Amino acid sequence: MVRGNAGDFTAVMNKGATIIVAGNVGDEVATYMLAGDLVVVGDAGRNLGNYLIRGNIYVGGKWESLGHNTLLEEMAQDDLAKLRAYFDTYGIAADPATFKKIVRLSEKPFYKSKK
Amino acid sequence: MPPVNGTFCVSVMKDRCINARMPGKCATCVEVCPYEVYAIDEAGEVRVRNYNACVGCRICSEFCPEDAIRINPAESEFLVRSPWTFPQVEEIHHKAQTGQYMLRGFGTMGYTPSFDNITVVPSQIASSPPRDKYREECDLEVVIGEDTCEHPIRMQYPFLFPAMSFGALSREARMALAVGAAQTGIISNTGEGGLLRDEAWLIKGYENEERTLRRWEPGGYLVVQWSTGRWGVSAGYVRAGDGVEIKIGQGAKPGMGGHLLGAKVTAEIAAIRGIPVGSDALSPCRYYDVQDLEDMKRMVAFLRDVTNYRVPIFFKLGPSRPYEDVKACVEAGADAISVDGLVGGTGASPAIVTQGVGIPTVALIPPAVQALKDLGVHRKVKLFILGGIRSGLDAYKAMAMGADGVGFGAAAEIAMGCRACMACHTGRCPYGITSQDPELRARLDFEEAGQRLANFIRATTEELKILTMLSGHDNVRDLSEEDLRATEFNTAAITGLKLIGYEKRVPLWENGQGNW
Repeated sequence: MVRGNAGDFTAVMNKGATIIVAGNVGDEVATYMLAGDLVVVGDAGRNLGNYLIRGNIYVGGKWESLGHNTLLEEMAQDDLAKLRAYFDTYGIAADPATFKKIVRLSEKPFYKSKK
Repeated sequence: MPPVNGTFCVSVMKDRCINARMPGKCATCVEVCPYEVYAIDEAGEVRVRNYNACVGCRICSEFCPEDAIRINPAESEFLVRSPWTFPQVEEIHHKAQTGQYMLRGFGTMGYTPSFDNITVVPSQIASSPPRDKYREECDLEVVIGEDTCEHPIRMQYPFLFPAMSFGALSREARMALAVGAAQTGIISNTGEGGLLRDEAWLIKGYENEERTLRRWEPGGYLVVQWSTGRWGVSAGYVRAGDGVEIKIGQGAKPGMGGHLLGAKVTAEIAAIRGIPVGSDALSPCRYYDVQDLEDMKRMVAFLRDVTNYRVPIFFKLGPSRPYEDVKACVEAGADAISVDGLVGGTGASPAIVTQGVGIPTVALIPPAVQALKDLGVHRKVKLFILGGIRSGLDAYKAMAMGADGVGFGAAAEIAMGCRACMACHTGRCPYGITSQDPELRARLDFEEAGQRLANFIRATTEELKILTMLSGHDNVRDLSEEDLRATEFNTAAITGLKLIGYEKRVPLWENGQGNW
């Protein structure tokens, strides 16, 4: 739980942690994230979620650019409930309905499995 | 007649062989072998007639419907009988009988100094950190003619398909090269066989002449070659390309011109080249109208004029005295220079020339690069290295030694299916690549072959990226000799690279360069 801004390379290679940033994050955030949730209440910088493999990125503000292998998905009821619970627990004033969700495009973007 | 030294053991598994069980029913090996290793007798029985003639191409093994053939190398004859090995003896017999010297296709075979005794230095603490091939970007683009013409060529990758003429190659192979280049944004060179009309739209990714059906992205570049033979050359031809290449020489037969034997000069080829059907197309060995540097400059100026300064001008050199040759081309006004080494191949050439004439590719690079540096044009006038480049590893080494890119000639043919049997000159290529026989050409699907070429280029590009990035660079222009080490003394002496262990250039290179 970061009660302010976090910098560049936040959540890189995240393997299951839930990371909530009440402010903004910098560039190259959530690169190669493998599992877990990243919640950014503010804005993100360049190359967000580059080569994201699994996990979810929720952003309340804007981002400068998205990385490779990312996909925008509609917020489902589960996502909205999850964020509402986080915000209540940590006293964050934000509306989950305004958040965007980023997930991975392909689970194996480099080497295809042999059939 | 096998063209190179080396022997192989030919075994046929009789329990699998169709012919062994039913004489006369199958003679595939007899049909496909270029050197008559197998023979069929009147009773319809196939036997190994001449195992000494086997060159190890394994075409028989590939075509055998029962996978009954095994070819294994056996070196003892070469070690024990040199210099009078079987192929050498047969060659002398052949000359005694016919008064003719041997001709063959493909490039130099057998050991010559190569890139293999060079290793790549990865980056760690003592240099800028390695880049992550999986997560970071690498710049691979090469631009030709940026400051000299209206439409510079922007190659997506630092690779090209060098000159291989229509005539030496089949129509399908030329079309496949265009499709492969269109899918990867690189250059395909017509060679001196003239322009096959389809190439002009295929290279841009269009299926049809009207250019309404776009099939392949991003589209490539077609460089037309102007050679001593002037086959099929006209103002229209010169203007049809995205670049014009002046051919001075080539790796396989330096000091000689192009060879296309009459057997492969069909009506279509004769029409494009402007010669009678069935005549040998032997290009002159030099430009009779170019005697000195001023003439070279005039030729470049002439081509720039005809193309209205729209496109870059290239030179193609064989392996001779690279420092002076490259210097002359720069002074003549080249935008890019291709230097083709000893190992480079061809459709047909006297065997002694292919095997014995020229300088190995690896040794050409230092003097060529030094010539560019001395004239202050390194990385501005682009240098492409050709001649036996096999993979991204060879490409990396050539580029770290100072080249801007490399060409894949033989490797491209092999990507299309070739197995290096060296019989291109006969026109009997079993894959339809270097044949003019419609039945053999029918085996080559140009779209499928184009896809294979694109696959090969993409895989090779990834190899180059891996090496570029692990050695601490994110741009191929930043590669340098410091990224390489010679692993043994001879190569350090030839190339001027630092020697492993010693970590310095060998004393022969204390003046910073060779004796050019």
